[in-house]
Amino acid sequence: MRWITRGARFVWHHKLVSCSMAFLVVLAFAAVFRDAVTPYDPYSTDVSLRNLPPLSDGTGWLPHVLGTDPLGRDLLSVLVEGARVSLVVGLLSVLVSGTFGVVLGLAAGYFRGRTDDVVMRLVDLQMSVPSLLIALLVLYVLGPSLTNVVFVLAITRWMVYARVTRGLMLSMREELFVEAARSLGASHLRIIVRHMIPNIMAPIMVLATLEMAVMLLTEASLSFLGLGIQPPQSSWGLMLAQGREYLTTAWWLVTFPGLAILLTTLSINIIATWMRARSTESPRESGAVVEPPARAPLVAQQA
Amino acid sequence: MNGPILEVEHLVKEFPGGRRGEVVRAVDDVSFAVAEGEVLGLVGESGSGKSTTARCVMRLIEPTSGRITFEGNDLMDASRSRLKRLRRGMQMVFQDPYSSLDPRMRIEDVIAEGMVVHGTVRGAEARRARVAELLELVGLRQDHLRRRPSDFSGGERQRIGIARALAVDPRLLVCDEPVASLDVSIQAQILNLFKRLQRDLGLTIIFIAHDLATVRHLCDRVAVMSNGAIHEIGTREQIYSAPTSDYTRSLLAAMPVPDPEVERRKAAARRARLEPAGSAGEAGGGDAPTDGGGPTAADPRPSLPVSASGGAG
Repeated sequence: MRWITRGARFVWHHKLVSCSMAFLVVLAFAAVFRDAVTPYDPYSTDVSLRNLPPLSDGTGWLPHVLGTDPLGRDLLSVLVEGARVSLVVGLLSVLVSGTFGVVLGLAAGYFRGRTDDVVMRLVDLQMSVPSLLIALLVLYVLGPSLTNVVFVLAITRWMVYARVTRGLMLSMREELFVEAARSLGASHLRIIVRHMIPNIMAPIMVLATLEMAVMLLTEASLSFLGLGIQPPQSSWGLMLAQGREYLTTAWWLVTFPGLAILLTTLSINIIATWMRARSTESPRESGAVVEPPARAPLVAQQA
Repeated sequence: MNGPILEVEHLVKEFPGGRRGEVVRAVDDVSFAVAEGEVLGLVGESGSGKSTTARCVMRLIEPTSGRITFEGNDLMDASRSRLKRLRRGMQMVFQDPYSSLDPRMRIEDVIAEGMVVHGTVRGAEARRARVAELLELVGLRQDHLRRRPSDFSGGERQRIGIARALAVDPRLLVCDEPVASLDVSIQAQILNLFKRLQRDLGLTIIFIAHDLATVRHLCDRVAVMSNGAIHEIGTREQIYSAPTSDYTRSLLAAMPVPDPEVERRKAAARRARLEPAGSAGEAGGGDAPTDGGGPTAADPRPSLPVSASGGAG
């Protein structure tokens, strides 16, 4: 009972965040249980059903709610299948780039010196080359596939994590509790793992959430350019590319995948913003009083 | 007194500072020795190099030159593994009890960390028992074990910091202004705790403070520092009753006296001295070290009795 009232209060106070969460949960649920949710097989084509408008009758337990595509596939089913691919690509690439970037950032920020120089020059190098160019080049050489898309997304975005992590580590280094651990005789590994990482995780999680949205968009652009996910697999970006030719005759082909991308990235951004706000108001009251600066003596003025 | 447990000889620490590679000499040729079981006070204004000295002694920062010997072992040449072993013998209590405890750790884990790092107490049960013992030693209740630092007040946190330092059974405790950021009433409690611990455990303590009042009742000997050098070092009686340097005298003058009449006369004298020429005080260098000038950083005995007697009189 207490959980219900607390949940209700949360929803009331954070309506936008709750909506975003609900949307993402529904999306993830649909992507995981695709077969149970989709009314039609996303891979069965029937040219006689091509480009049916939304709400046309069909043979499944639902009409073609969002219409059909040029191959006669049910658009809702394809959209859910696309969600599955897009989310997997997004999550995997965030995981890979995040791990890579955080590890390098940790090393750079903790050890400083030459490690720092090498890592930060790599970051600068990466920042100075347009990421889409690298992506196009790598995918052209390796050939487009889901794994390669994840790989490309990871190598174009790792430096964001490296920079943020390095900055956080630099401020962590100055923390007194880190010095205290050093004076206890704790090893580098112990200090990093037990003291520093737990204390920098909150901002990195916020960053990873924001990056998830970036990854979804980049994947969509790559697929749109024909270098991402290949047919017959489906992703939102690919659906946009395929629907573009029919923009004037079948508006639903681009509208629904476009909306899906928009709503998903918007939800993720809303949640990330809320997470950031929450992590900065956390109960950590630091700073406190340090030695007051030398000043002229206070003159006691009691009568 | 016994032989020296710690010897510091010609310690120098320079920081690269400012433009064109100038260096700032934070510690300038400091030498002193601490005998076993003794409490040495290290007193000086902000920026006088006392904290830097302490951190050099702990080898938390690398000294530029000099020699530090702890229990006959040269700390400067010690290898990593040897340094780790030596660190069991000397521990530090930090100034700010708010940032010196990891906010994400439980008190239990904070205090047990030294035992885990050095493998002195094995097994979770044995560690918990030892942690409970330490909590009692520093005057905290056992049911605090599973809480986090944010649940505690400044004084309690400082007690936790002390328990953490004591967990590895050190012989030498380096305390870097451990009471400077605490309330006056709490300061007295923590100072008494140090006194009791020193007596019961036979600890040697280097106690850093920025005013002479704080260390008066705790220290056997006092060293007065300014501008990175030791101005005067001597027994408590020498420093407080027969100071040889002007700097020490100005620090002593800044000590609040628990008598409103005396304080009022001192204030009047200061005003008289300051009024004719605004820069007079500064030229003499006499007014800088007066952190303790206000009633905030007062004598271990809190200022309450003062106002009480003032009201009666």
